[in-house]
Amino acid sequence: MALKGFNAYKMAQEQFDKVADKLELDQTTRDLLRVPMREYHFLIPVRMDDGNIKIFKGFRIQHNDAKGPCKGGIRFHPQETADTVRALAMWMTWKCAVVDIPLGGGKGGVICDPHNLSEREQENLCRGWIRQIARDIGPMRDIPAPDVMTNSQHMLWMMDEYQTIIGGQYPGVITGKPVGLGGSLGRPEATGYGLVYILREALKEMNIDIDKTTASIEGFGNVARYAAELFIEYGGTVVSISCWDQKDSCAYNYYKKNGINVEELIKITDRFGTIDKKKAEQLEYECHPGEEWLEHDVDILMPNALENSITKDNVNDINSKVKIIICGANGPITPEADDVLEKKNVVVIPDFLSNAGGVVCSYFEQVQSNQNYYWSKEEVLGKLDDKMTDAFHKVWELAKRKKIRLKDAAYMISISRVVEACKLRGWI
Amino acid sequence: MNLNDKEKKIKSAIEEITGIQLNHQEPLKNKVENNFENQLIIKDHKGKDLAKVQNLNDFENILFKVNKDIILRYAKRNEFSKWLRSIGHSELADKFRLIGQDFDEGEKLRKKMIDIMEEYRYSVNQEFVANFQRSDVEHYIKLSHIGTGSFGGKARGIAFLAKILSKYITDDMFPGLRITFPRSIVLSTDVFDSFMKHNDLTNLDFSHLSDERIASKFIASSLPATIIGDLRSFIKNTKRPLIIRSSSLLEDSLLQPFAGIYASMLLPNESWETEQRFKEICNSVKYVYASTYFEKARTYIKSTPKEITDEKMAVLIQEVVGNKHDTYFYPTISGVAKSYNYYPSGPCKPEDGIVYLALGLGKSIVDGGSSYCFCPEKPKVPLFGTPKDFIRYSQKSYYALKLKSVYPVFTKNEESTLEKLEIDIAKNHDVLDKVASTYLHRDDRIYPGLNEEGAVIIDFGPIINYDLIPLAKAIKLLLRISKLALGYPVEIEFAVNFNKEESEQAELVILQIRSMIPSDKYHEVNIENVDIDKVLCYSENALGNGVISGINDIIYIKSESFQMSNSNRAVNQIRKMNTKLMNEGKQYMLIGPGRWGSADPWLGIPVIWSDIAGVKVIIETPYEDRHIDASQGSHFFHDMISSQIGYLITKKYKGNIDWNWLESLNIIEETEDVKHVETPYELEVIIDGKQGKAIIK
Repeated sequence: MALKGFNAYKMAQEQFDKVADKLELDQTTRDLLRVPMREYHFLIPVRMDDGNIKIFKGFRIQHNDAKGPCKGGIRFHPQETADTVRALAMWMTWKCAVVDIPLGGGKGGVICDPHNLSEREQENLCRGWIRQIARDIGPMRDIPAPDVMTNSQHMLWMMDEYQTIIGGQYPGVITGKPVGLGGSLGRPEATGYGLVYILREALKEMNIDIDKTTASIEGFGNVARYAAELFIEYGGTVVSISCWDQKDSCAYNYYKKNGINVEELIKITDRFGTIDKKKAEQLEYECHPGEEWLEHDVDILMPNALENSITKDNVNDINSKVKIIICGANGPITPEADDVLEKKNVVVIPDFLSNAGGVVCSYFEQVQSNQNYYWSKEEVLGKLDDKMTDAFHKVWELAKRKKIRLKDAAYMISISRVVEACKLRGWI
Repeated sequence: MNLNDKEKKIKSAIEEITGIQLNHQEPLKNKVENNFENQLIIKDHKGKDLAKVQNLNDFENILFKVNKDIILRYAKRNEFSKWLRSIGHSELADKFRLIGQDFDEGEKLRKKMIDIMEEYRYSVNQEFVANFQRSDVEHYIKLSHIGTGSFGGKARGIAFLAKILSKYITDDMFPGLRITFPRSIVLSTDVFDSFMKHNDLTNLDFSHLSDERIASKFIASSLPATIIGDLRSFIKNTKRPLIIRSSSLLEDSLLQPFAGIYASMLLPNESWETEQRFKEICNSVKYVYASTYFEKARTYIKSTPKEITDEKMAVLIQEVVGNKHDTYFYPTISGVAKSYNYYPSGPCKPEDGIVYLALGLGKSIVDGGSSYCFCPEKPKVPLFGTPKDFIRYSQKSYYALKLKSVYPVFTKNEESTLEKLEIDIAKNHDVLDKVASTYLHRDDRIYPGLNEEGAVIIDFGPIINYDLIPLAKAIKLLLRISKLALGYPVEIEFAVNFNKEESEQAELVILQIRSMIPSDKYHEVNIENVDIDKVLCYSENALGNGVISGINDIIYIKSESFQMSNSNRAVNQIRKMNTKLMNEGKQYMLIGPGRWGSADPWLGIPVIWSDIAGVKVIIETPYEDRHIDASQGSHFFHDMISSQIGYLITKKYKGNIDWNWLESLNIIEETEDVKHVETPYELEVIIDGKQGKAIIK
């Protein structure tokens, strides 16, 4: 959850400014890139089940599409603000640029709580959103995807509405679709696997054998599960994961010294992501308060849950054995905590690089949908491995050469790629 | 023989064969090999000393020789583990710890212990296999692995070879000839485990699925994510034809060599698109995995004490040796060399070994087709009688890889990518001048090299008789060193390639190395005192050794009505009877004309090993005037020898099987060409391996 007083947009702009200084960008370029290029704010009237009409606020923000059509998810959240969405759209631009895919950054959403909406109401909302924005998105302009509290069913309703309006089959208009209806194989695993591909390469560069390492993971959602699975397959040991307990309204951390078993934990997790505490204890997992996930005696930390997980208040609780922190979530480490970690010589892999696996796979889905030809899982994962490895090595090399943080190197690479694209187009 | 002795013998073999003087530096002192204080004394039930175990070699010996109950007793007391630890082999000690508790049956325990020792022997070489790195586009990294499990039989053989080559062979040892091995990558067994687990394939009921269904299920599954990136990177940088072979744990194991049981795929790897080649290599790996469960493999495993669950598959991917000629790809020569010759002739002794050579890909040899052979100790001695005799049997066609082949979903091994070419085509490709001689009718003589007129004979004359390259010497050295280093006779599969640039050296590329069953582990048998006229069958040309009893069933080809043109038909009938007898747990005797297992259906019955896996004794009855020795390079021969099947060859007028007696026996089943009969009493077959004679009574 966003902290009170915390403005993601301001933070995103500050990050950009710092890197713009390093790259010595002129004012015109900064003016272009600091703010989104296009913003659409609209109202969606939806007939509810009780017969009344409710008005929802929706938006779509396209930050920059110099490299290609915009890409970004759609959030349903009761506390969504335009500023958060602007920041997220900007981060999408940098994310697509760092893995060198031909897409720009965008983000959208609706201020609502889907828990309070019936299925039919959700469908009406989705179709209403498309009706408002159909002219300004599309396979060649802006490609939405699922995000917080949206899923493949929402995407399918939206795709269907779009095709009705435009009058043609355009499966490439939206990603996150189920396999068989335009979705790509390998998508569920992509973010988690992408993270571990990068981790694997980083450990190689640090001359550490992956099969001798231990990790602690915050979260137990899609990203955390697949990351844990692949990490264990490479020989590593995951000693703890954490999750939000819906009943107790707090987070718990489940620890097992000899390594967790992902499958058995999934069996006792409900559909909201809460792990059954009693059953976990029966399976010999120790239950600790959620914040303790980063105190364990491990080599690797993976914050895969929410933003602002590691702050100046808890950064010093991190065990001295930790050598590398790889971020699966967006913005889990605050800038102050980043500074402390740099002093401690902990390698921090920036979020928008390590969790880019998802967007790369979405890109593959978009390509397959546009061709109407779908690849095998090996082809998807093989290409994913290639792209992530390549992106990582470029960032690592720049960081080593210029003796800067990985985060800064990643930003420098992505921003300069976008600047180059804008220049070549004649925009600046 | 301890380590120092071995080193000395190897070095003196090198000096003898190559004439090069080596430095006699002190060999590195390894772990203490002969430790008199920490010796293990094996006693029998009465307390009498049976054996002293002072080093690993002694330990392996007692595993073979000592009574299984005594071994069980010592294992249950954890004696082996304690002793191993005391001599510094703590890893082995860990493996043997508590082994006595897992087994209650002596024979199973013994087999397990032998397996562990074998694994150890080969694993010492695993350091030679580097971890695959995507940045290794350098070709000097020849052998690497993806995955962290064990490498299986074939790969271990290559690793062993790599060690031998780097330790003892230098580039200048054989002028004009460089000895090397192909760039290889091993996907270790844990990749197979992961593949089976993630795709839920372990619970399939394989016995009710046809091979094609199994293959398509496997190909529809996905390889583990842990290796896909590396595999893709490898294929991106490799544009040579590749061979994807099985390298399973049970294969090439000392006691149960499973030669040629699993699939191997030959990939032209020609497409410009990386995606296409990546898909092909993924599918090939999956096809090799699928072959673990094909009918051929399942039948084979049934005939051994192993279970299919014992089997784990690693995969060896190697670059194919050869040159491109038009749209074909093949090496100039393929060959198989063995340290031990089961059919010695002329001045050659069995220990001198034998080498088979063929033009083109090695399929000609391993399928038992026609090829040239010579004895490495005396290469110029002809083994085939007169040169004119040889002309009849020399190669008329050879195998090449079709580079432009377009092959669909896999139906068969290799065959869709291979083509059998006539020798004339090789002439056009300019490869024959080094391997052929010409027979001029007017002179009735054979001249090395090609001539404008005259018949072309593939007899490798320029190489063997005129030493164009020191091939015979190199092979002789390799056989000798491998045998000394490993402690057992070996079989080596290799290829020789002449580069298109004349100035470059020719390459002798070692593809595979297997151990042969050591013949001295057999028992002594004597048939001097037997009256030939009173026995059911007498053979002066028998393969095998020992006494085989407990046979009541005979399957034989009906001699009067049988035509060689029906030999393929007969194979089906035999296969069915074999399956029936195997299910009933009965061993049987097989009788028929011609060379069993021959690839040529006109020379003999073209069975493959799994068709007759339940057989215990084979009798070859006279067919043509002249008997042709079974090709020892073939998989069939290999399996036959390692399964310790007796093979008897009978002559027309001396000791031939009594057909009247056969006809009088009780018929169990009769088909068009084959009869299955039952004897009223047990047959006993006695084979004297030393003399090559056998009787049946």
